[in-house]
Amino acid sequence: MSTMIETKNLTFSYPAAEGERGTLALDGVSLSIEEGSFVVILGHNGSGKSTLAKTFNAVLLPSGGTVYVDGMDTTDEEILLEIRRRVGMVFQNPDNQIVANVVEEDVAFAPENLGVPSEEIRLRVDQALAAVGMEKFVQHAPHLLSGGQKQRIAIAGVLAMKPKCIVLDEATAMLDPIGRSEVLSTVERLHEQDGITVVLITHHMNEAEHADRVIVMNNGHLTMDGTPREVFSRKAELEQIGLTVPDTVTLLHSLRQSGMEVPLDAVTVEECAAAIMKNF
Amino acid sequence: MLKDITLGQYFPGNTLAHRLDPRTKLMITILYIVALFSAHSIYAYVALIVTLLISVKVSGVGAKALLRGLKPVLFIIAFTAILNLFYTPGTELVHFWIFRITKEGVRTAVTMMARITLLIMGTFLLTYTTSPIHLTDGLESLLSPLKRLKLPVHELAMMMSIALRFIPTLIEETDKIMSAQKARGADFESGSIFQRAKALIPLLVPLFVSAFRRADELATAMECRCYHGGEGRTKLHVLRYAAKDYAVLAFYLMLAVGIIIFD
Amino acid sequence: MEEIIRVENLTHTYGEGTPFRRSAVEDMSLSVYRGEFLGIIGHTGSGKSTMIQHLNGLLKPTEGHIYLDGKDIWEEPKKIRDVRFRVGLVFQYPEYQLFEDTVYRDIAFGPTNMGLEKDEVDRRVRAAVRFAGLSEEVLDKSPFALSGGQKRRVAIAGVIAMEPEVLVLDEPTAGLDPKGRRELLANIQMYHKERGTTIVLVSHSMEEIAQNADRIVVLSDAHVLMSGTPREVFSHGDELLRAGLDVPQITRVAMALKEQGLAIDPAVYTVEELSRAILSLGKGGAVSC
Repeated sequence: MSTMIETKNLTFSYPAAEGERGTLALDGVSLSIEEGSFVVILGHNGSGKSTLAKTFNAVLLPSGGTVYVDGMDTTDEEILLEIRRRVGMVFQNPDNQIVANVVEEDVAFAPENLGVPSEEIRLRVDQALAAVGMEKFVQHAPHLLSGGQKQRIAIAGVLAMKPKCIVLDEATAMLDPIGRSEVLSTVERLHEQDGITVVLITHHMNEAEHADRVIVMNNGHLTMDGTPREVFSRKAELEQIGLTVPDTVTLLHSLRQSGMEVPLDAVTVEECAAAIMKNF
Repeated sequence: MLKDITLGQYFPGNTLAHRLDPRTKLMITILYIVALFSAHSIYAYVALIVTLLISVKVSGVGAKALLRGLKPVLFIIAFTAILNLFYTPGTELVHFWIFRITKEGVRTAVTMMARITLLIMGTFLLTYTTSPIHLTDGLESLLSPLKRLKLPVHELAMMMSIALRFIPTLIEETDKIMSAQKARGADFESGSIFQRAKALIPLLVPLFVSAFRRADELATAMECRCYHGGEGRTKLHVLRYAAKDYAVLAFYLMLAVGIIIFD
Repeated sequence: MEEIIRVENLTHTYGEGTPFRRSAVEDMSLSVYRGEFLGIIGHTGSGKSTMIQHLNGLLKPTEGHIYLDGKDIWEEPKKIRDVRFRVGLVFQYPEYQLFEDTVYRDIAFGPTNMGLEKDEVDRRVRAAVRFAGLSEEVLDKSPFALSGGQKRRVAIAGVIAMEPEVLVLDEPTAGLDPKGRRELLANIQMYHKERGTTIVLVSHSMEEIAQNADRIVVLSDAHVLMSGTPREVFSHGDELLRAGLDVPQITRVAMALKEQGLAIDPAVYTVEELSRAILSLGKGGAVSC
């Protein structure tokens, strides 16, 4: 499998405000994300996780080090559009990323920018809306949709570029549980059916359950990297950097302390219940 | 509540008037206005009124909706009519106290009223039958020759459509901030004009801060979707003139030219 | 228990007389008791935001009544502002309402509108800042220069400073990270304990409500679906899931264990309770069957 995104010793600092020192948001991050993988990046607010995401499609350019997208250096301005086409971004606030006041026009926005012929745009818009299950809303006004629906429109808008990778930058943070599961199941389906690489940035621990890989950021560094099971079994360390583990993991820790033979890495409700049942 | 205000006067539909190319509708509206301002004789006005009535009939827009649109400008119509009625010199018809009504005055008052009413109904018919997005597309396309004069036509059209997109969002936000400040005892309804203006600060500051934040985030989101200005941009919906567009255009052209030449 | 607020047969209809007519709240009745920590849960569109805006008279009932201390709040519409001082409402994402050039002045906005003396305003601002978990150092800063979490605390302090008898918070932790969420809730809990203020916490996180509230009201489709102690409510886990609501993860584990034959009360909702329940099944690690 080839590498979708690769960062080498990446640093980034935001320009200093008056009278203050510039803050180093990313401090020597090296990682590579395989094509077709589902990666969750966790971290508390200010850990650098969103900054990292924004370097993945050249919204932010490295202060030091390099970022390669599908082998292309993101500082190369000549291929900027190609980089952005391959790595689509969905942001936190659903209202601030919808451009047009009709759903189909909004989804068409990116292919229009890319100069795709009209008939092909029509095709892509219809496919993208079907892929997120919003085909019935072609002519709707986006501001009348629910938060989860708006985010699915935003995902469709990205899909219309035919990207290889989708980065969701806290795209579920402002949604209610229903909206959140709508977005998550859409993303999971795209990953499974179309093999799209997914990078999901979040601070909701439960969203990491189904990932192939979990990366934990703290103070601009990459502090943990492994499967959800591996990462969540390091409960104490996670809590130290302001993160929590799912309650299932806390329960297993508590049972283990009382002498029960349970694994510490059964993350989902089903796995946890099954692990406990083995004792009876 | 601000939410209850219906914005954009577009009435969705699928009549001939809705299906016309927005450029055609923009052009015939202009032709109609030109004809309106060139008209003098009663025949010309009859022709204009009949044309409007036919267009209204075709559009399926109810007379009620059209008349409702006139409401906010009723005062202006009445004011112009009265001014013209009393202050036009000419053959005297009635004279009481300091008021004189002349034959010419009556004539101008009636024509002015007819003109404004027709003007407003005509333009309302355009917005009633054309969605804002088509209107913007039409404008952009019609004005595109001006790009050669280095006029930022695409940018203006983009700004217009984004403004249209964000109006409902900002109205909702205004509502929310107003409620939040009222919950802290803000009073937007009573006091002198000065006090009321001052009371708006807790509303306007957050609204501006939020509008800037939104603009910033939207700009990033647009860049992420490969926006790089109007160059090389294609469209989902390409505007194409059909036979009906030519027919309607020809009719209005004849109307305008006819009135200019013969009236 | 003494009732402080009573909502009686409340109906609120938006867009009356238009094709968009919709009742966000329909014939809803519920009580808030003095000194309690009430949790209100319901998904978006359940009517919870509309309902709470009636509690302080921001919205006027289409039908029904709101009683504060036994008195209909709309009996004297001119005095509705006093109701807003007695029932403090913190909106969702309240940081977007900050407008003053210093944190101090922003927090003082509410108390100043109440017409209080300068000294009293000062005392309240300082007390509110402390309850919101901020240090007095932030008072001279511009609210716009603070971090997202701090801004939220300033906005909450702005309502606390009115020293309302009832503090209503609509999704106060939305968008915060786990640490921010935990700390903010701890501050609200501390405020509740120290001052005895009645708290109404609206949330769609079951975990949050379960860990903080004495009593829960569940709203669904403009109606009250159920109410009771957390344990009573979570004993209807299936019903909650059917209404499209979450139940705490721990409750779901308990429900799964019960289904697979363990004698466990599926209404437990904290890690400690469930852990104790499992261990009390006697075999503590031993394998049976």
